[in-house]
Parts: sequence; C-alpha cells; structure tokens
Amino acid sequence: MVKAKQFEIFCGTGGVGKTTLATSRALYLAQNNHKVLLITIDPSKRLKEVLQMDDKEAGNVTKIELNDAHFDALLMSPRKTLTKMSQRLEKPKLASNRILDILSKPYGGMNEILSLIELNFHYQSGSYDCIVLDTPPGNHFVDFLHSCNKIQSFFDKSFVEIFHYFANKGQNGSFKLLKNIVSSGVKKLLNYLKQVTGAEFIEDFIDSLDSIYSAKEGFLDAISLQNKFKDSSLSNWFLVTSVEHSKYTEILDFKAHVKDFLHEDCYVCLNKSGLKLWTALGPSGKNSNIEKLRNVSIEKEKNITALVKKFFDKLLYFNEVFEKSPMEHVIVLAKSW
Amino acid sequence: MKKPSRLYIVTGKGGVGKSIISLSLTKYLCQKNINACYTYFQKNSLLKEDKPVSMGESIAQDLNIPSLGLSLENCAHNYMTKKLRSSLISKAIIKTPFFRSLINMLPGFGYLIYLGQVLQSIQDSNDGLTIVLDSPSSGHVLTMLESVKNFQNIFGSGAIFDDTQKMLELLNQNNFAKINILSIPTQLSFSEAKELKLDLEKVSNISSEIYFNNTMGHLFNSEKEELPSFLKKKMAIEREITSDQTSIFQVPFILKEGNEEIVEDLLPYMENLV
Repeated sequence: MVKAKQFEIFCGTGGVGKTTLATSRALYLAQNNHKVLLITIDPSKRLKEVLQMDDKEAGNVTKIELNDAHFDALLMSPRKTLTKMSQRLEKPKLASNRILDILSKPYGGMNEILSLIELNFHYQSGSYDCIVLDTPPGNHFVDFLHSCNKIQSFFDKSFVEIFHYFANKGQNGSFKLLKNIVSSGVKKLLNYLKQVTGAEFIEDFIDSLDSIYSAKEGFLDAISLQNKFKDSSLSNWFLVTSVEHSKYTEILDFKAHVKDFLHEDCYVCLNKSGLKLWTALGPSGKNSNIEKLRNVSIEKEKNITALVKKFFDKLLYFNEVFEKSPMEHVIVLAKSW
Repeated sequence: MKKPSRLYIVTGKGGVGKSIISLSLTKYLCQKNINACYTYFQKNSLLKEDKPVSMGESIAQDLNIPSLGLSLENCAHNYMTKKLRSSLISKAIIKTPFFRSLINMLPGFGYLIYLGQVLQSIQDSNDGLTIVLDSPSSGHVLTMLESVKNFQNIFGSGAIFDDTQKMLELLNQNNFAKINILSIPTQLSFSEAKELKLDLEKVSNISSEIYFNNTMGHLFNSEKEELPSFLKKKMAIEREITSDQTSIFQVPFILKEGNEEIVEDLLPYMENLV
C-alpha cells in the first residue's frame, strides 16, 4: 500500500493512462476519508472526459461524486489563474498586458508556472489533505521545475531591474551609475532585437517582464513549493508508463530528468499490464495468432519489467482494464491501489 | 499514388505509434523516389547542450532512413544570422540572458523558430524535399501551429511578423502540408483525435485526417479457437469504435517484436497516409 501524502504527483508521456490513473488515486484516497483535490495541468484536459466535466468548469473547483466518495477536481485554466493572481496581489497590469494575455492561453506557454500558482493557492487554503497533480505529458513539468531555478535567478538578476527602468522610461531616481552603463549595453541589444521583432514588441515585452516583476512575491512563493516536492514526507512521485510500445526509453530519460526531485517514494506505475492475464491463460500449444500475441506480449512486458527494475526499486502493476466508459476504468483501477 | 504533400505532421495521443508510422511513411516515400526526410521535433531548451537521440532517430539510422536533426540552438542561430547578417552578433545575442529568458518564458517562440527552419529547409531545397515531422503529442502540434498566430499577434510588426505571415501562407497553400492524426481503437484515444482535428481546423487550414493504428481485427478473423475473455472485451471495444467509422483507414497491428521489422511490415499500408 502506498501511504497518502500532501502532494501526489503523476508524470509520464501521453497515452499511458496518466490522467485515468491519477483520477483513480484521487478516488482511492477519497474512499479512505482523505480530503482530496485533483488538479489536471494537462492542456488536453483528459480529466473532463474521464469525469464527464464541462469545458466551462475549467478554472473552477468542481465537486465530484463517484462510487459513494467525494473529491474536488480542477481543470487548469491559466487565464483564470492569472486574473485571480492579479486581483489577489492588486496588480491589474498582470491581467491587462497584451503579451501575457496571449501567453495565458491553454497552449500559450505560461501553463506550468500558473499551475504552480494555482496549486500554491489551494495548498495554502489548508482545505485538502492530499492534492493529486496530473501533469502534462512528457518532461514538460519537470523541465519546468528545473526552470524554476532560472526564474528565481531571473528575479535576482539586476537585468530585470533594468527592464523595470525602461518600463518606467528612466524616471527612477535611484538608478545608479553602474546600472546606467549596463543599460546602455542593453539598449544596444534591444536595438538589434528591434530589427527582428519590431519596436512595438520590445515595448510590450519589457512591460510584460515588468508586470511579472511587480508580482515577484507571488511567483517566488509558488516556486518555493518545489522544495516540498523533494521531501518524501510531503510527496509521492508516480512515473506512469505503459507496456505498449517502447515507453521504457522514455522512463530512463525521465529518471535523468527528475533526479533532483526523486526520493525514496518514487513509484513506477506499469499501466495496461497484461502479464497476469496472459500468464493465467497458459500456453495453448497451438500455432495460432492468439498464441503469437501471447508470446509477444509476455516477452515485451518481461523485458520492460527487467529494465525498469534496474533503475527503480518500487514498481506497481496495473492490469489493463477493458471497460467502455472512462469512469468505469477509474473505479476498477481505484481497487488496485 | 496521389501527389504527395511537402510536409507531413504525424501527431496523436502518446503511444499511438507516431514514430513508427512516421518512419514507415518516410521510407515509403523514399521508395517512390521522393526526397523524403524524417525529423523528430524535440523541444529542447537552449540551455541544454546535450541532445538525447530519440528512439525514432536511432531506428532511422538503423534502417538507413534519411533524417534531419535540428536543434533549437542551431535554428535560432540560423534565423538571427539571416536577419542581422552576422553570425557573430547572432551568436552573441543568443547567449545573452535576455534572449534565453525570452525562450524560457515564451516556449511557443521555440516552436516557431523550429517550424520556421523546417519550412525554410523545404523551400531552399532544389529537389523537392519532403519532411515527415514526428511530433511528440497532440498538445505540442497545436502549440506549434497556434504559436504562429500567437506570435503574429504578439509582434504586430517587424521581420518576425513578416516571416510568420510567409509561414502561414506557405502552410495554407493547397496540398503543401498534411496532418496525420493517429488513434488507437479506444474511446479515449479516438475522442482525443476527433477533438484535435476540430482544434486544428480552428488554427489552420491544413488538411488533417484521422487514422486508426494497431487495430487487431485482422488477427482473429479466421481464428477457430475461442478468444480469452479479456481479449474478447478488447475486440468488442475495437469493433464498436471502428464499425461506425468505415471511412477511417486502419493500419493493422504488426505481430512482431522489433521496431525495425514493424516499420518494414507497415510499408504496404503507407500509400493511404500520403
């Protein structure tokens, strides 16, 4: 049995059943009397299909009742998070900058950072024992966590202050001589960039950096959450993979990516497993396609298992589920936990 | 065979077989004497020096399938060099914290640069280069196409604006590009494919088509023996989804273990994906 933690993070490539498995985990935890919030950062929003939610509910916490259990679910809407943040911090510029507006579209690029802000908000509300996080496919989320450090240094670096200076058209009296020298270098760089991007963009971009800078506290606060992801008493990591195709190459790649976050409670979830089903069936001794499929399936899965075990200690099997509705899938999978 | 497009974007949910199909399609086109080339879209940040070889790229090497390795760093450098007419200044700019933060904060910018380079390679070629783009998963291809429009709105004017305009014109040219959306025969995968098709139609005029991959119906048509119960359920789901969709071409599941063998065995079906 996997002990419930404050943060339960599900990662993996697309198509491995990550959302379904994360939802089944949320259901399982709810069935065991935990107060659970399930957040999906995945812009393809599979959760709405799994739980039959409406697109309009994106950005709002929705109560889910499933199989006599209750939990909350949230489809990330980066735009709504940005608006909430600008209201909370009283920084109206955040919600009105043209560039930030485009970037906070679902695929615009600010999805991850805004998810962390949303997550932080719910964490600090203290309403939940467990927050289950369904991350976007691939290494995006982890890449993003790594880039947190870069964002942090971005706020520390004086060059942002220089943009702050430009945004305020140099009316900042406290500007030091040294910064003036640096800013002349920046001016040169901006002139080069203007040739490529157009002047209007440079102004708006500086303005967007300045808006983000003005909301510095909000961003840094959310970024500090990543320390909790490194703490095994506060988080479980689940790397979801499936036996189909060659997903193991990605799991190894993943291991390399998340090495800074991994602690002893990192589980590899081998989803859509058929090993038990095929083994239970036994060989037929006939030269049929069923027999060939049986052999290919068992062989593939044994290879993957051996490979995963070389790199990870904790391996959880989830049998392939053959239910038509995604909701039924979740209910069946919840029993496996 | 119908007249091939110059750019094939192979997309769909993860695990539907995009890499294998992309490779097989590239190989098929090469056999038809088309100068086709496989490329895997890896959104690696400018800050990462080492670029891991993808599964697709390594199979391409093994099977002698031409492949185009593009890194974001090179694409960005090429582009800036062209615009500023100096490789040195371009290199210096790419190395500045400002440019790096631009890429880190605007991930779509990386996609834009990458797609720009792909289109440039096609246009620069004298012998009809055709690129098969193996794109990581549904969301990414949308980001890539949406970013062309987003950045038009972001930039408003200037060289990038003009170039994105050219990119859009090229992509929207009749039969220039085609998007092949792959789906395995499950409810979740198929509804994602349909949704993706609709979303793609909103952001571009590129023609897109859904294909079923890894259908197993053909394996058991002539089987006399009884299917095990779990396989029966699986086949029932497949039948239910595919029987309503007779116009969607089915690429069959290949009962082989090695990826190389599978790429070869899929060749006879690739004409339908052109």
